[in-house]
Amino acid sequence: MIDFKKELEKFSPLLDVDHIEDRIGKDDIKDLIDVLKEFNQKKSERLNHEE
Amino acid sequence: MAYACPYCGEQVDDENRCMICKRDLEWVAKIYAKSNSYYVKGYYEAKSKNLSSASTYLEKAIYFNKYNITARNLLGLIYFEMGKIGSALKEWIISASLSKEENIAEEYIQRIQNSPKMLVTYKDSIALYNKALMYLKQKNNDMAIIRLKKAVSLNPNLIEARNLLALCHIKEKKFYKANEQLKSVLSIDHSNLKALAYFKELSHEDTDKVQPYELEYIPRQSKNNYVKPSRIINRGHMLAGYVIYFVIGVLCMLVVQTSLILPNKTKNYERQIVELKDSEIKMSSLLEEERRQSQAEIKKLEEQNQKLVQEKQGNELALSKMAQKEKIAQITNLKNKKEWVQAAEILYNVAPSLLDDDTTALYNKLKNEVYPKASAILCDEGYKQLNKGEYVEAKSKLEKSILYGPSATILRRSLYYLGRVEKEQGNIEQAKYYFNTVTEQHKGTNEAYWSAGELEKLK
Repeated sequence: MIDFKKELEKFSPLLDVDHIEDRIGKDDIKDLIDVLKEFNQKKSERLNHEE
Repeated sequence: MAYACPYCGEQVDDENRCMICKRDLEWVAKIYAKSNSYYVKGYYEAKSKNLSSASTYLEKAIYFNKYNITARNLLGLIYFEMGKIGSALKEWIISASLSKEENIAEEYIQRIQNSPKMLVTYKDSIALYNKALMYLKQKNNDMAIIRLKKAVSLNPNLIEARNLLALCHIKEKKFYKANEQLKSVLSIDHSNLKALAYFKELSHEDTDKVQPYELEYIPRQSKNNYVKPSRIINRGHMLAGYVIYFVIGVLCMLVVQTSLILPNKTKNYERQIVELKDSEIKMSSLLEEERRQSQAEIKKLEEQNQKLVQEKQGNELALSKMAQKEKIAQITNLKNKKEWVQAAEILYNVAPSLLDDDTTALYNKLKNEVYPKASAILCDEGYKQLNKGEYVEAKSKLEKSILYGPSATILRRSLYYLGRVEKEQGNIEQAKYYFNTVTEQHKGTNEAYWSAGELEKLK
C-alpha cells in the first residue's frame, strides 16, 4: 500500500521561469575537473601555509 | 577530441600534454571520454523515450565535463519535454554562456521568447503545481487537486503534476482516474520511476470501471434565469414634490440668517478685537523685560561654563597620559605571558603622542616585538577558520593581521585568504581587489599564482 505522506516527500517544487537567474549558482557550472582542481589547490595551500 | 586545458585554457588536440603549460592531461582526457560515454547513453535513452533515465545520464555527462554542450542542450530538451520549462531554460542559459559559437541553445531560448503566450501558459502551470504541492503539505487535498487539474490542462506534458494528481486520486481510491494520469505520464516518459511504482500498485485494483464517486458533479444550469418583474412602480412625481419643499425650506433659513443673526455676531467680534489688542500690548512689554534679564543670565553662565571646560580638559589630558602608561604596563605583562594577540590589540590603541620620552622608547620596542608575532598568529587562525567555513571570524582575524604591519609573507597570505573569504561571502568586487593586490605586489609567489587563477574564475 502506498504511504501518501512518504510519497509526497518525493515531490519538490519546480523551478519558476522568473527565478532562473537567481537559481544559477556556482555549483551549476562546476564539473569534476573543477572539484579536483579545487582539492589540489587546497592541498598545496595547506602545505604552503605550514612551511 | 579537442578540448580546453583546465590549467591554462589553451586548446589541446588529442594529446595527453598541454603544449603551452606542459602539464600532464591524461586524467582530463579520461574524464572527458567518460562524459561522452554518458552522453551517448543518455542520447539512446532519450531516443527510446526513457526521459528520466536519459536525464540521469546527461546530468552525469555534464558533471564530468561542464563544456559538454550537446549533453547540456539535450538535457534542456528533455526537461522541456517533461514540462519543466524553468529547468530547461536554466540549462540552455548556462550552455549559451559557456559556449557562444554555433550553440543551438540560443535558438531554443529565442524560440521560447518568440512565443510569449506559450511561456505564460507553462509558467502558470508550474506556479499551479507548486501551489498544489504547498496545499498538499497543509493537508488541503481538494484545493490541491483543483490546481493540479488546471496545471495538467495548461501543460499536458508536466509529468510531475500528473504523477502528483495520480497520487491524490489513489489516496481517494479513484483508481480509474489515477490510471488515466499514469498512462499519460508513461506515454511521455517510459522510464518514469514514480509512475511505474504507482502503476504497479494499481495492478491490484480495478482500474477499468469508473466508480460512481469518481464522476464529476456538474450543477444543472437553467436556460432562462431572467425573472420578469410583474409590476413597475413609478415614483417620479412624488420625488419632485419633495425636492420643491426642500428648496423652499433652505431659502427661508437664508433669510433668517442674513436679517437677524449676522448683525449681532459682527458687533461681538469687534468688541473682542479691541480687548485682544490691549492685552497684546501689555504682553509684549512684559516679554521685553524678561528677555533682557535672560540675556544677562546667559552671559554669566557662559563664562562659568568656559572655566569648567578648561578645567575638565586639563583633567582629561592628565587622565589619558596615566591611562597610556597603564596600557604600556599591561602590554609588558601580556608580552611576558606570551599573549601576543591581546598585547597587540591594546598596543594598537595606545596614543604615542601622550607618552613621555622613556615610555615612547618602550612603546617602540614593544611594537617591534609584539606586532610580527600577533600578525602571524592571526593569519594562521584566520586560515583555519576560512577552511572551517567561519568566514566572519576569519575576515576579522585576517584584517587585524594586516593592520599590525606584518612581514611580506604573512601580508601576502593574509591578503590572499581575505580574497577567498570575500569570494565565499559573495563580495566579488572586494575579492577581486585583494587578488589583484596580491598579483601586482607579490609577483612570483604561490599566492600570486593562485590569485591569478581566482581572478580568472571570477571573470
